[in-house]
Amino acid sequence: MTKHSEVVISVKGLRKVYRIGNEKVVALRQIDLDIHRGEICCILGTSGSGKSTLLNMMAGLEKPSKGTILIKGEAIEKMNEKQLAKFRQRNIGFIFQSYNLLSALTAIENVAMPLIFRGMPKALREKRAKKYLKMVGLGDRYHHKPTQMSGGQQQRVGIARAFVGTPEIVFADEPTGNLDTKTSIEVMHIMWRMAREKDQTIVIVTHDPEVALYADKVVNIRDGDIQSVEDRPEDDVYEKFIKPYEESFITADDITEAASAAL
Amino acid sequence: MNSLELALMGIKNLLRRKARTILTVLGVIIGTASIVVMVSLGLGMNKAFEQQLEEYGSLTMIEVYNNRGGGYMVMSDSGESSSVPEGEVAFNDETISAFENIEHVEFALGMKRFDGTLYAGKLQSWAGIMAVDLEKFKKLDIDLSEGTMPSADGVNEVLMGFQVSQNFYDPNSRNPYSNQSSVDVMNTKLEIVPSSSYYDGKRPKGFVITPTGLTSDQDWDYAWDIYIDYDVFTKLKADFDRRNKSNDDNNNGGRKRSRSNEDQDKYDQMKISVDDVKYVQEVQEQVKAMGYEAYSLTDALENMKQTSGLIQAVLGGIGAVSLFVAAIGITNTMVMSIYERTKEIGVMKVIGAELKDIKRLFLFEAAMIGFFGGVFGVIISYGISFLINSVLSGMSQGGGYYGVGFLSDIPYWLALLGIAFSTFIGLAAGYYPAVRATRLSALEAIRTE
Repeated sequence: MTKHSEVVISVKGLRKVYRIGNEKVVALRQIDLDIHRGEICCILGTSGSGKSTLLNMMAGLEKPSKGTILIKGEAIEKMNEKQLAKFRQRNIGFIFQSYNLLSALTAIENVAMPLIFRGMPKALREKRAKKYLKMVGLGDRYHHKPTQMSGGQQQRVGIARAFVGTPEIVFADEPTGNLDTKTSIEVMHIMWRMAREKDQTIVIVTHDPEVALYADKVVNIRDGDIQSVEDRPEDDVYEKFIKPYEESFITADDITEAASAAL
Repeated sequence: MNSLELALMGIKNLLRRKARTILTVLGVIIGTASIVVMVSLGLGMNKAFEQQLEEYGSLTMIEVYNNRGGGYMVMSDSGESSSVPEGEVAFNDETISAFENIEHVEFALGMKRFDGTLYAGKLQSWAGIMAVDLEKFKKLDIDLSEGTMPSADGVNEVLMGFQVSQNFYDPNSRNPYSNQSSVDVMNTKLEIVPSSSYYDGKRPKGFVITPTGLTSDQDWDYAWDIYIDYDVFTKLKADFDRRNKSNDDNNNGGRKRSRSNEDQDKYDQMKISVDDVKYVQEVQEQVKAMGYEAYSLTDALENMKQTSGLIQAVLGGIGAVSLFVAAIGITNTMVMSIYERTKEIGVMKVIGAELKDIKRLFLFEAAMIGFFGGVFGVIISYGISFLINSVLSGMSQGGGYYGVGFLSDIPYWLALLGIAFSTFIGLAAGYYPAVRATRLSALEAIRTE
């Protein structure tokens, strides 16, 4: 796949040891991993496998004990808090398991939040936020507060928020962890579509093998070590999961279209 | 993140927790109001002092006395005796020129006081007669209630101190001194005898004077004497002394002595007018260095300023305590707010907030609490100040000529300073919470479920 030739995230010799009292707990032993541009990479593992630690370190939220993480060639473990904040602002989007929307703000304000930090003018960022809300299918929920929305809807706002700044990389920490199966499929589908549109890289951490079905690359992790890395041809995912899902939908537009065709 | 967005977000955050914000602001209001009111009392006191002093006389005047007069040496402040040897300090027209040569001196006026008795029909009164250079005397800022300043040209023209006109008594009544009565000096024929000696039965013939003006009853500096031209008076006095020589025997010795010193002791008191209050002390020091005794109201003003400065500091300190308590309140509110918003702060950090955004947000919120507390505090201070002035000054209405119209004074700079200070206090109180918010681990924050 020529498309995936450029390495966006490169993890080398990563090790993380937590010190709890006098005891050392090894969360990650020795991780080496390359993730390419446009890849949807799923880090699959049970709880306690170290998958969340890996994600946090790749997002610059935690410092490794050893090893290095290069994102677009920059070693993020060497950055200080200030630099990391700036780096995240420009290059990284984040999707949380528990959505983490700001409860006082409406959907549109939540989505526009990352743009505020970049200093984008209000009119522009609202337009942008509306566009992304439409893309996740919430065109009719602009002014709803998080408490007025279902879990699936909240997560879709979360996805819009992660993608609104067109970051190169989006990290998702158990994005479907709080959702039922049907909603999970919806959410995965949206994430897949959004990432493909602008050739963005997604790193998803999950314990759910079903989520992994949407990935181009699945990294199985257990007890702080990578067990196996499984690459899938891109078309495979589309043919197997995306296309049938999309074909199962008949929208109102489809009906009018079909009706006008029949007449 | 631009400042406007930040401000909007901050205000939204404050409004989200209305009750707590209002309570915290209330603390700042009380703190600001107490400082502003306390300081305003001090300022009002200062203003009252100055007004009071101005009633006593001009602040730019220095009174000079010849320290030789009593035959004793005045010790200087350091305890050493004055460098000018006794008997060598003259008090005459040369002295006046010497004073007028000092920088910032507008003019110096020489005066000599004589005792006299004033007769208005059958009433009489003791009166001091001040012989002055009327040309310079006119330059003094003397308030008149009626008439004009006298001149050397008319027939014995004089200026009457208002107290002189009120102290007449009838020497033939049974109880002469308890029945003092005032005389309309401007419209009564007045005769003066330039001697305080008691004349048994027949009084000597004095000379008629023409009062041209009466001093205002607000001006206590010139209240007690009659002012007349120096040359005019000395001539009258010489005439009188010649005519009444036999009656004045007991005064002869003294007069002889003064005659021998006449040139040296032409005056017994001088007034120096200084062009600006701020040079008064400086000129006064120089005059003292020349061997004279000098007094000015700025001495009193300095003392009063020191006293009121101390009182202001104490009052301000009391106010500061309550603002300090309010500042702790702000810090407490902001720290509480951080605990509540831990997750929110973490999420903001993860989705792209920079550290300075978070810091500024918290600083802004704290400063807003301070600012609004300051604004309302100042508004309330004006109310309290108004109440103090209307209630307390109403109570002191009977307090004679001390009756000052205000006790509390809030100039606009104090209002602005109050708001600026409370905003600054807010900022300072918010600094620790703001730094704490930036130090919050984003990871810990988003883990908090």
